[in-house]
Amino acid sequence: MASGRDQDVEETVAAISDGQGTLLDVVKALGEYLTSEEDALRTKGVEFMSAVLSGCPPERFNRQSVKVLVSFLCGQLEDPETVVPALKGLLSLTYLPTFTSGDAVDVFDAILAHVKMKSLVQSQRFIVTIALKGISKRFVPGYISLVNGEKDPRNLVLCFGIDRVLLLEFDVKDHIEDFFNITFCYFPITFRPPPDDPYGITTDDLKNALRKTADTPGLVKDVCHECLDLLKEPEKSQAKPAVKTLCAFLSTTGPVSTYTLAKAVPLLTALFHNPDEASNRTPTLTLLTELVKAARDSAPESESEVKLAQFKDDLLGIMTVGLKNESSCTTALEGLKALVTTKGLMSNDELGYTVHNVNEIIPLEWANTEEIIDSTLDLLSTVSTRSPMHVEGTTLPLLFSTLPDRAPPREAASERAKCWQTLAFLSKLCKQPSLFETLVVRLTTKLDLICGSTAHSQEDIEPSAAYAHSILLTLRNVLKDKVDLGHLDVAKYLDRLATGLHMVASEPRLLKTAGEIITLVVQVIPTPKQQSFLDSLIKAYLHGNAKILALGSLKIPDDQVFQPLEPSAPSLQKNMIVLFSAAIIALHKDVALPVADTSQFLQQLYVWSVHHSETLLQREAAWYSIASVTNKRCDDAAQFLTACQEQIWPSDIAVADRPVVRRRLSISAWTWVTKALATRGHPSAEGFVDRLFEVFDDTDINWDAARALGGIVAADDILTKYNHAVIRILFAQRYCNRLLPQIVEGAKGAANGRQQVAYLVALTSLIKTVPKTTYVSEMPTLIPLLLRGLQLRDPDIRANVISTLHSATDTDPNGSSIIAEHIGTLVSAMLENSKIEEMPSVRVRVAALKYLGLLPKSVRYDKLHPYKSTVLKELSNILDDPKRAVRKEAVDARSNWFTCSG
Amino acid sequence: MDVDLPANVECVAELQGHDDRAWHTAWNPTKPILASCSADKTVRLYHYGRNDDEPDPGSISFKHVNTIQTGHTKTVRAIAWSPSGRTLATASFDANIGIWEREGAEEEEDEDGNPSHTVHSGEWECMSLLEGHETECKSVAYSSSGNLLASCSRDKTVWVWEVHPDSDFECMGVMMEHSQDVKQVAWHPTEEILASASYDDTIKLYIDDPSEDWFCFATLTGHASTVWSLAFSPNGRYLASCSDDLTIRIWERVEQYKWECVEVIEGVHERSIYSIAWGTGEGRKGEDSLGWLASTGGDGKINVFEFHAPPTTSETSGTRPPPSHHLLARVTSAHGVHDVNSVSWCPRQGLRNILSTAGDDGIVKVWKITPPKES
Amino acid sequence: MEAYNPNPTVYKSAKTIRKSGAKEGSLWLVEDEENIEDSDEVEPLDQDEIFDLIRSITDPEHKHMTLEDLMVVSAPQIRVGSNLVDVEFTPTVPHCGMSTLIGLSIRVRLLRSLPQRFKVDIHVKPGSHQSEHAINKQLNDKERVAAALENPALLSAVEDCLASAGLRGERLE
Repeated sequence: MASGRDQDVEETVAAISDGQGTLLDVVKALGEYLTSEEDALRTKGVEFMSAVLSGCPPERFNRQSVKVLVSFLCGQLEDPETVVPALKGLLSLTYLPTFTSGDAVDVFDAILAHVKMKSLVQSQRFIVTIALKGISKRFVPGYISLVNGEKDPRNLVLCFGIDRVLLLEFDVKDHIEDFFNITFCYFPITFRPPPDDPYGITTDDLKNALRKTADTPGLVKDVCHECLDLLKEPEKSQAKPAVKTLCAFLSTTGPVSTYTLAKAVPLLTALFHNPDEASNRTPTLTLLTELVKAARDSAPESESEVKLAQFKDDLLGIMTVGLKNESSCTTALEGLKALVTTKGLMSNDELGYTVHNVNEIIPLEWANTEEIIDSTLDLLSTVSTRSPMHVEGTTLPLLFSTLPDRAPPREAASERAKCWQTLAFLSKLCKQPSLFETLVVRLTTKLDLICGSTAHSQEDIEPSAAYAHSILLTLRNVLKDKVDLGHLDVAKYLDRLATGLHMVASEPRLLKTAGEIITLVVQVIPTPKQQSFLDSLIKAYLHGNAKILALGSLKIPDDQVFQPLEPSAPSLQKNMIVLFSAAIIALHKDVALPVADTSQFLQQLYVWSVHHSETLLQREAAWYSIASVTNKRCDDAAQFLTACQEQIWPSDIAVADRPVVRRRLSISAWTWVTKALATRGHPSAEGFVDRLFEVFDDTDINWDAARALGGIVAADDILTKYNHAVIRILFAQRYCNRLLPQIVEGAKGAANGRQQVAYLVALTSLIKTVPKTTYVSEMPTLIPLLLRGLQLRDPDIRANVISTLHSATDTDPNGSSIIAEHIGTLVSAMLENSKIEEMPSVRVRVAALKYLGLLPKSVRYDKLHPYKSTVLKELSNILDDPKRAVRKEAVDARSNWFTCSG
Repeated sequence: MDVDLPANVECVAELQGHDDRAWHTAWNPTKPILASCSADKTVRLYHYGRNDDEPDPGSISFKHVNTIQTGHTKTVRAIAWSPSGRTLATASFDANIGIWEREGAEEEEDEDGNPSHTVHSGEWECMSLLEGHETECKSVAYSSSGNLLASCSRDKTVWVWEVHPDSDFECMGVMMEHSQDVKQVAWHPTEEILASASYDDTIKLYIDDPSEDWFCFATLTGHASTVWSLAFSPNGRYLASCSDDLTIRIWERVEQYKWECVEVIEGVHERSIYSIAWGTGEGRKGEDSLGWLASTGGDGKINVFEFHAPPTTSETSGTRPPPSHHLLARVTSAHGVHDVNSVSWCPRQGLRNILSTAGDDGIVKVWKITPPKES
Repeated sequence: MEAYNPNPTVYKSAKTIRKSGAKEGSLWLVEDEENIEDSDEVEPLDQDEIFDLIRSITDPEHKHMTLEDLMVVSAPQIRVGSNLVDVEFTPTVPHCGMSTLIGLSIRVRLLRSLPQRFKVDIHVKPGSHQSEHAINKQLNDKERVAAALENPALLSAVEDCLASAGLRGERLE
């Protein structure tokens, strides 16, 4: 048939060309087809006609016939069946000399009115786009609205071609922002073709098409001038797309780039210096910064010439001026950073000059905002990675000089804030090894002074402790960053930090932070060094030889016996177990404890933790040590493990007549031992886990035992890769796979209510610690149980349940349909948990509201509809919660429900 | 509640049920029925009666008997009963007016108001839909004779319709006098004088010229912002108006076609005053009593004033003093934190101390004002 | 349609108010973790919180910009009483025909986000618009607002403006 029709087309074309017939005869002859009720016939009719049109010689189209044909084919655009052939026909007509601009307008209007781009497939859109090409001035705004947001690279290549024509032919000044959106916003090209792309369009094709658009002779000049005009009002909204367009030019070719810079930079420089435009300095600076960044990023690797070199002095001058003004400071800092990061632009002296100028604003009152501080630090750290000498030589002394030797008194809040700010500066700036060394020396000296000044006085000691803590925190933060960055110089601070910080302190925050510093340093030192360090630690903590620890005034007084593990030791000494443990947990597994019997030592720590320790901080420190040693040296701990099973469980935990408080402590210790074993996949772990179920009927401790089942696999900071723990891959999944069925079974139908609740607690505690994939297939069974968990009175459990439901609902489409089944119960449970009268915990209220807000995004509206009005009404009361965080979630949840509809 | 005010106010019913803001209420003039309308597009009907057996004899109880799903596509803003009590008109933001009657109402008419057999049965049916307004219709009112119906709209017009048998309505006039949104229409209690209140800050008065059409014979200016509501005094000599300017104004008919402002009551509301109603009141009425005026608005307050005619003696001096008034009762936070949108007095004998309010909380409340017993 | 202000001035957005780890008046840079969360301390609604609610409403004429970008709204233009909120906004040009829509969007956002006990008054900055009185009157007429929100075209225009409101100062991209 197709070939037959081709033949018909040829014959018809020939007839018309010979003058035997006219185009209007063809239309008349096709009459029946063109108005047929049958889609296929209509399509055929129009296709035939378009084919004839494309074959006929131009001289056969008189003005009248073009007019009739345009009007006829435009009419066919309304019919979805004939859109494509009609467009093809129109396309043929547009090439004709008798096709007038009036026709173009009609065609264009018809396309806009009837063609729904998004409902067409690519090939059809392609035709539409082609059909639009060449149509006159009316085209610009309409075209923009049609192609805005086009993402398909095949169409983009074409669009860029059209864009080029438009930019050449039309006055686009009024549409510069739109043009940016359809053309220049694609700079730089980030398109990657999909691996199975059948069209073979490459990133380079796109780049070339786009580059050609920007690189058309005359075009750059025109567009550039239009953009420059817009730049003369830098504070207006059109200035931004204008400068982006210019930036796009910078990434094209050398001559274009040079031309653009030569026009734009002097214009903006003059604008900046114009006293009448003083109020527009900030937006001017913003535009300049954009240009500098684009110039920096567009320089090809090979290019030796630095484009900005000739403007450097002007730019540096302007940025320096901008720096001293509050409103333009951030922008100037950003601009300076762009200059500093331009390859080969700034000399060392100029870097020094920059740092000098930045130093001047640091102490200024107005520069004390988050934004300016962040940008300042960003610039200074950028400079110091290139050349640390300027920051070290000028900025650091300036900063250190503002840190007092004694803590600001309690009432001096602003002085204190200033200290914090200085410390924040230091922690950002001092990662470089040479700068860090200065930091450590200066700050540890400072610590010594602070502690010395208050060691024996009766005055208010808390400000000093807090100040010391802020200094420790600074050291900790920088160390953490350095460890993450893999800096090797950390190891050399063992003496100064790990030994030196063994201070006597009662404040838990000081101890914790000092402990974190010790852990960070010990982590990175090699095994032999760890071993010798451990030897001295053991000598001190177990044998009373404390002389080797701590420096200066932080020392343990010489006249005191140091026996922190003795029941009768003073609290301050007991606290130091925190520091001891901080070192123990970071040891390699090859490092043996220099004690006669490791198991006995662990036993001693256990007894101390349950009977002699005084605070949670102390106890936890002991448990961390026990866990770390058990995990890394479980052979040394074999006897201790036996003792756990044979003595600790039967006589410390599973005995009803022991004080509940002590039984709970023992369960915590048990949890850590079990965790140590489970983490390394030790065969005895299961036996330790299973014991916990034995007390599920004991109301004094069954919740603790149940929670422990989750705690065993919960993430922690102790048994980590950084701390050289022995970790079996996927141990948490194995653990969960083994226990989950048993726990679910128990929660569904354990022997009695007490046990059922314990299983439920175990379930909620376990499930939040393991990845979703572990249990997602069980969701249909789990959801009803989790919903029951939402009724348990413990806020922590409820928060766990809600977070589990959140992750189950969030992304998984299958999860959502299960959620939809329980939607009524979920909605009312979440509403209850959102009300302050029902739920005192802010955390739970926030979580419940977040969950409510998630539902409209993940569950089909028809499921939500029955609850919509109730939810909106109930949420309106929650908008009055006393806590801001709760109100925020209530607002978001409510607006999600407001806008959801069928 | 202010303790030193003379009358006691008691909330006798709290009628929930609307799913959205309640805009307006209307008491049936002949039967024990209260109607309310809402943004939820429904009209709810309540039957009420005295509980003589209850431990508290004389107390009134309300029972929801019917919900009319009006079919209006937008808010039902206002409602009005015909004087016969048989027909209910609804004014909606969908620009239409609905005319409603109860199916089979003719046969089972029960004039003495004994409800048990009659009020519950029969569905309410839309007998007629009056189209003509271009935008939101905001108020509707029957004249005292029941022969005329007036309506108004944001389209700036006031329409007068003649009521014919079989729910047939004929438009008698369209008055385009206001320059803005017309908020409410109200009829004189005895004569065919119509008043309208507008967003253009004015009040207009209209009569029918027998030879011509309906026309505006007076424009009352003085309010400094939107006039929300109007109420004639029961004797027809005064007109009260309330406004977004936080005042209540009393206008007196000084000549046949001349009304003048004689009193401005200020400082009794802190936010826009949305509604006023003027009833005769119950008990303790002297010869000179002009009845009770209730006002309410965005501040959630209800104020009830008692009005007395000025002494007749001074009439000779030419300038008649304004009627005197004093605050009889006040309710604050009548609907909790919500705005109160309307207030209406029960017109039925023996219950003229009862008023109803409609609030943004979707609730309709009924209040009883009890003046102290005369000693 | 002719734009009322095709090239409006863009202002630098205010950044979020600094919320450092330290609590005001505290000696410590980091608080004890326990006991902060569930304290009984009431955090009253203030102008910053209300500004946060409306700052990211999209300007109806410039879909890429928020009311904050164009300085149509700002925190100092908001006053909060115990049960009263007063919001002033500044149209970008005195003939801006979008002002009513902007005001309506602010009203709807607050209607949906504030506890019901708050009465909200909205008005344009005195002297900033040629139809100041008319706009203010319309925005504060509850009946007109209610009717406007039953108009599907108007409601959808409002919803368009509000779609970005939840960003609370995060960038519109």
